[in-house]
Amino acid sequence: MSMLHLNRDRQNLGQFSPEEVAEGLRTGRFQPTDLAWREGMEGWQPLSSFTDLPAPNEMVPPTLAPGSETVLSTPIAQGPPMPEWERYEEAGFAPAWLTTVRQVITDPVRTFREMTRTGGFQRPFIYSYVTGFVCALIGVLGSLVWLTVLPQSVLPAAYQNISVHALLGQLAITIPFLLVVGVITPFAFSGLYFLMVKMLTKKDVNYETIFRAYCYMTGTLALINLLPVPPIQAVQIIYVFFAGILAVTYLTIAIRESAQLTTMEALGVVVLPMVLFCFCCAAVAGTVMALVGTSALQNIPH
Amino acid sequence: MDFEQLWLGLIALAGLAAAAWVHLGLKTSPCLFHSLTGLPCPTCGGTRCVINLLNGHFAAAFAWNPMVFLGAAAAAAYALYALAAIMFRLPRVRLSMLTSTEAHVTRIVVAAVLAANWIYLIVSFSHAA
Repeated sequence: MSMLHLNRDRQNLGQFSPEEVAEGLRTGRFQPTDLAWREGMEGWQPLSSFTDLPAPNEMVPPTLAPGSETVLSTPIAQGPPMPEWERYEEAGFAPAWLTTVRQVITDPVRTFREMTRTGGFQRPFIYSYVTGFVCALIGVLGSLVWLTVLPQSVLPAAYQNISVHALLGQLAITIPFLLVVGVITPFAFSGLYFLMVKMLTKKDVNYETIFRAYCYMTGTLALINLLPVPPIQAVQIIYVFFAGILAVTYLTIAIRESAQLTTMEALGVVVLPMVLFCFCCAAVAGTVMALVGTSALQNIPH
Repeated sequence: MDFEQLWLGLIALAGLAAAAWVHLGLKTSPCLFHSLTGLPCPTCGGTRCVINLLNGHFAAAFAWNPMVFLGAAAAAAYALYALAAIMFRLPRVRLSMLTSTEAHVTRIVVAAVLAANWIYLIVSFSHAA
């Protein structure tokens, strides 16, 4: 039986075997109202009209071949939705947030392999936005504290002899930009990675999947802004360098597992924008927002 | 989700944020690649390109970074398409509509544009120096 193309709300979900579709209907990954098409059909039809999908008890599990990457890369649709933030209404905001951070940091492979690939943009966006904004704000406030406690001689010229009034003024400018940039960057950067996947691979991946993986990964990596990095250029270059390596590693894992790419494909998707855009894309959303805040300080009048 | 509404809103928001940034005279971080190598990265001149675009100096904007200029033009064109698609309920364009050959040609064209832009920047920055 040929592969089925699925579509929901004019968004292509990808190609799936009849067995995967039947399993998806059973687990809730797919809805009876989702549209499907296969070769030979004239037009799209709702899944509910397909009467020849295998029933769950007719499906034969695939033979386990030793070292089979296909088996390893098949998402395991069992257990609660992943990560824990997907069920914050039941688990509570704080416990779900803490568990999600732990899942992403300590077990990213399993977290993104089992990540819920559909279900809307709201939850991952909220996780990324709130975590990123709070961490970026703390990072900017930390920079302001450094400016007041460090000896003036170790600071770059543009940061020396700044009044508290000027610092607070720049903070007032930075916060609205953090709020706006936090909305734009998840969609823009995940869109960029989605285009990279389309350009570099033949995978029929969903934008929503890339968006979810990006948000959960970068929202967690925004915690790196909590590190007390002083506004000394040499230190900041080292910090951005190691933060970039961390971001590349974790983003590669997230893209690889969620989009079911090979490691080299995922590395290309993540690294190529960095090379093209001067490492800007290596910065996670929270780090980008912190840099926005830091660069705003460069215009402080003496 | 209506992607045309989403991207139209994001493009408008980004445009407003960029205009506010330029109006306030805020600066951006220096280019790390340029600091380390002395060569321009593929997006060097991009900020000055956007500033010139917002001030209506299109020729100068293109000269600073043709790729960023074309990217901004593409974003503006997409915003117009999205607005028309929403208002007049037009059929939506999707990447999955591209055939395999069209996708392959697109990859080659994009790679060629990126390479040509970077070569242009290296040559023009070296002449300016």
